[in-house]
Amino acid sequence: MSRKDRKRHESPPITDVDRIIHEPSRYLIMAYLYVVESADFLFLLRQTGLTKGNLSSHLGRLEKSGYVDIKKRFSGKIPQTLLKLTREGRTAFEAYRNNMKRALANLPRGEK
Amino acid sequence: MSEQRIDLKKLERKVWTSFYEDGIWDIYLGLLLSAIAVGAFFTDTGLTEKYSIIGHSGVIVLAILVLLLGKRLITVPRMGTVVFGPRGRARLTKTQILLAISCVTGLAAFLLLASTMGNATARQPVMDYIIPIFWTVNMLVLFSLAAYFLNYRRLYIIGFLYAVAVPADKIMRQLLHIDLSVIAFGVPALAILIMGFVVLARFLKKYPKTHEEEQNVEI
Repeated sequence: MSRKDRKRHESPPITDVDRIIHEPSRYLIMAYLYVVESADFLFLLRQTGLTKGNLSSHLGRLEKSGYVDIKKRFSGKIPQTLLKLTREGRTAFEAYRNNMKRALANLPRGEK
Repeated sequence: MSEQRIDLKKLERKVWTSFYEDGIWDIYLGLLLSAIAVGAFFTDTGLTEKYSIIGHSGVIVLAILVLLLGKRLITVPRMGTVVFGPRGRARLTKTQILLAISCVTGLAAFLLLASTMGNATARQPVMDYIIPIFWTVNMLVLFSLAAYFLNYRRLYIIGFLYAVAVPADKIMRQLLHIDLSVIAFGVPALAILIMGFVVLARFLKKYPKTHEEEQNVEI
């Protein structure tokens, strides 16, 4: 087995990627939360351009998976929903990016 | 942005620069420079130094209020809040160090000027050359490095407008033999303020105020 084939053999199959993160909107949410320490719902709503319902449902899914920590608090009289990636979420996001990079890098070239 | 390839550095920069999208910092810096023009205006009108100091301090207080209340009442209800990660904190630390160095050099310039008190011959070159050169270099270096560290590109223009104020004042005084400090500081300050208000207007259009319930969602 050549070195190239061995490397291809070692890389994870594309079907093994984390499907929770693989969904584009959730990936975007995870990416935004990855580059900051924490943000509130409104900030993420503005930055991602998702609708309120869409963002809310994706965040619910990410919270259920243990990737996002959601806390509610009051800032004066205004309620605020604070969002933060958990350590597990951070690790999963890094692993997803590495897996995708390796899986895509090792795809055979298509015929022209 | 539905593609799966996201450049995290670019994304982090986008999030960071959104912090300056409201123009509040521009307005704050414009008001700070205009405080000097207001002080000069009160002096020109023949009022005592007390009124000049009150006018100058009043504009500085207004600038601080604009910054604090603007962020709280305009930016946060429209754009939400974010706590930046280590990269953002490092940028702020670098800028704070830069500001501290600038303050120390400013103090050195002040002490140099103070040391010439009562000695008109020694004071003249300090007032005519050393202080304007010091001001220009300090403003250009301070604002350029801050713009670079903070990724806040309008600071290059603001730095330039700050830098030209004192030399312009000196040149106009030498050429026209009249005190035009109000114009020398007022025009750059006005330019910064206009820039800030344009950015603010764009921000208000882009981010309309949200309803309270939008900030609290059932997830």
